[in-house]
Amino acid sequence: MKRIIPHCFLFLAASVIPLMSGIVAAQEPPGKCATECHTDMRTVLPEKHMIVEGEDNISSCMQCHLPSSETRRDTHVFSAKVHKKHFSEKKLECSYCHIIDVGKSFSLPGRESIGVPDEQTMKFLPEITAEWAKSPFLATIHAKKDVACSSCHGDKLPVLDDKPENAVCFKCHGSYEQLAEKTPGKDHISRNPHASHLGVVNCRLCHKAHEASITYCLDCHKFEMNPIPGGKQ
Amino acid sequence: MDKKLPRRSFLKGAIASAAVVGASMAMDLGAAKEAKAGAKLRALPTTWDETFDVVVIGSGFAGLSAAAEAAKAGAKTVILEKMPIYGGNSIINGGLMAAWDDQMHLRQKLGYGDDSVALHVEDTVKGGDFFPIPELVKVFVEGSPDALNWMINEGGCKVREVLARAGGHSAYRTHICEEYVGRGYVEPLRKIAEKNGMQPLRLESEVTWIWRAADGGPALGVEVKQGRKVSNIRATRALVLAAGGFSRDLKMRTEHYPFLTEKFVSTNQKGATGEIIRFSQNIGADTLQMNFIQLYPYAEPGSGILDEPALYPFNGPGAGVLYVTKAGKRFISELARRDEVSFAQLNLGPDVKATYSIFSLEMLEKIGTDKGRLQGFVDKKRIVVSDTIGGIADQLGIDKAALEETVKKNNEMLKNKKDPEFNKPITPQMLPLEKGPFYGIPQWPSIHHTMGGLRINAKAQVIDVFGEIIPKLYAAGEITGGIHGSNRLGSNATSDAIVFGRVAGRNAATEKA
Repeated sequence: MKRIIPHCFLFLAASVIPLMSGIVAAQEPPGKCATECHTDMRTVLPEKHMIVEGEDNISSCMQCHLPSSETRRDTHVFSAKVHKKHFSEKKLECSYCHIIDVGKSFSLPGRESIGVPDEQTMKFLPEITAEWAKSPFLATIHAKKDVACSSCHGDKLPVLDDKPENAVCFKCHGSYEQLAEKTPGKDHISRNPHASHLGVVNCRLCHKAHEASITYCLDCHKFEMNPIPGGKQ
Repeated sequence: MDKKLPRRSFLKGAIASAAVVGASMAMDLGAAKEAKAGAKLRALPTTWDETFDVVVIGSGFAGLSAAAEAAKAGAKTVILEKMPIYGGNSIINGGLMAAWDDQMHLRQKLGYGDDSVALHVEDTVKGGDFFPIPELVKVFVEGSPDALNWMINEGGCKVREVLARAGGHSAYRTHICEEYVGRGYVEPLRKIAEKNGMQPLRLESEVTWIWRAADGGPALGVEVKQGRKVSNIRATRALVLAAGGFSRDLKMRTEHYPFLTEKFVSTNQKGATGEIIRFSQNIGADTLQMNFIQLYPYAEPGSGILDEPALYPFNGPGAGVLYVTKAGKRFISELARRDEVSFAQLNLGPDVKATYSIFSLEMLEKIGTDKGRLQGFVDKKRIVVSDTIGGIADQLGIDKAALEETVKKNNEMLKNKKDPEFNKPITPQMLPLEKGPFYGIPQWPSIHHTMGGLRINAKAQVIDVFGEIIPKLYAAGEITGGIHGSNRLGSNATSDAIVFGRVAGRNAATEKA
């Protein structure tokens, strides 16, 4: 189904990027940004944002803001900002923007499916996205810095119990050794959680994104350590 | 009575019950909760989610060694570890390893006298009150120098140029790795295993059942819980049990030794629970000497952990360490066994919470530490330092006059080469407490090692309650029993776990798929 580009989705700017393909494999009509809510898109876009031509839905944004963990960091910023605003604040359903076919595909208009959501996934995804936006946990610390799901869980639809490897954390946080430099012990520098007698452990051992983080050292040792971000309050 | 008779009826019963429950169990296949509910017969899985040649349960010394050898022999080998880190108790152990020789010939180099397989076996058997099975002791003693050399040459393991004579040992044979913690052996073993082609080690993979074919058949595989996912993994050549002891399993330890209630702390990591022993018993495995549970006499009194300072008292006797009470008196021969030292402490009275080791710097240097390292522990208030014995007494709250008198008597005792009070064998390597600085370390017993466990033979094959081999089932390390008897000599477990791990891995790989 071909869609007509609404007028108000075109902005005046120095340059105009060419229109991408308008072919949309839409089972369900996704949310129309400009005709349904943002009658003047300029009010929601950064001042110097270029003119975008395309469908009146998120697919126009996706021409540039690909949610790829391999691309520029600000692509995650886009995903993070959009989800925070539309999902968490405005309480829009996933299906407002995404084309969801349970058991088959999960995509954005005009884009390939990023995974096969089962019913369980479609139950936990909204829950965990809500938690990402607002919780006492590490996920929310990331959300506040506009770090989206894909930053840790990759380009595909996150699956239940996905456990990111250390390399994912190191992309932004530097190596284990660099981390150790930042975390000398509170009372004694050698009580450094990143330079312990256990060697290199999984970051997830202590840093739990979707539940309270813990200081694994204190499972055995009885001494004071600096509080861990996203730990029990 | 014909011993075959009960066996047949036992197995027939097992099959019959399996058939009856089979229908209802079919729906529950893979339900981990069922496995935890108690001993019951469960129908075998009809399909397997994954297949390996050799599956190893546990990633400590024994598990890693088994995986390294099995992988080397060409078996597709995987380790399942239930904890979120690998290494179990091994990675937090003291980094000590008993071996009567090594390729550097440290003992000869240091002029520490003689040692041999026979002497090491004799000490181990005697130290365990003649409960150890000599045939098994011989396997690990014979294999320990080669195991150490293997880690050095193939895994980059580094040992300090010292040797300790520790409680119960009659020779200076306790090696200390560079790291002064078991990671110094775990990492080399992991490196060797990976180099040999072991599959990626799986953490947070908890075995919730062991499958064995009916009618005396082989071990088949395991049920594993990973997060919310439960699956069945087939081991076509063999299954190796290297899941460690049960010091942290309050139920199991008090079943066998009611004295060791929740009031006792433990040096062990949290995962040292005995479920793999129970699953093994459920498929017919025999256990022995389950009531022999060791207390480590020198743990940090508050937390019960075995940190580096907690090792000095154990490594110190050969260098001349003195153990004293708060009253400033000796209470035992410092060369006594771990059980003797522990019970001598517990018998001091209900309100006593610590005894103390008194060292000089010179002695500590002989067991591989140095002033800088020690200062770190002084800063953390873990140990105390002073230029005088009186200063040590003041800081630890020990009766000063009594301690000074005890030290004086100790120094005379070393000169006279005779301990009239506790009959400690005096060696020329033992130093008097004359030259400071001096160090004091508090110490107290903590549950440490379960000597009992699964019955194995010299090939590390698990033996059933009728004395027959359970096909394709191997076990190594603390999960096994009968190697250390009633009292394990410190630094023997590392050798036992690594040597038997290697034996189990090699033999597991030779089984036919």
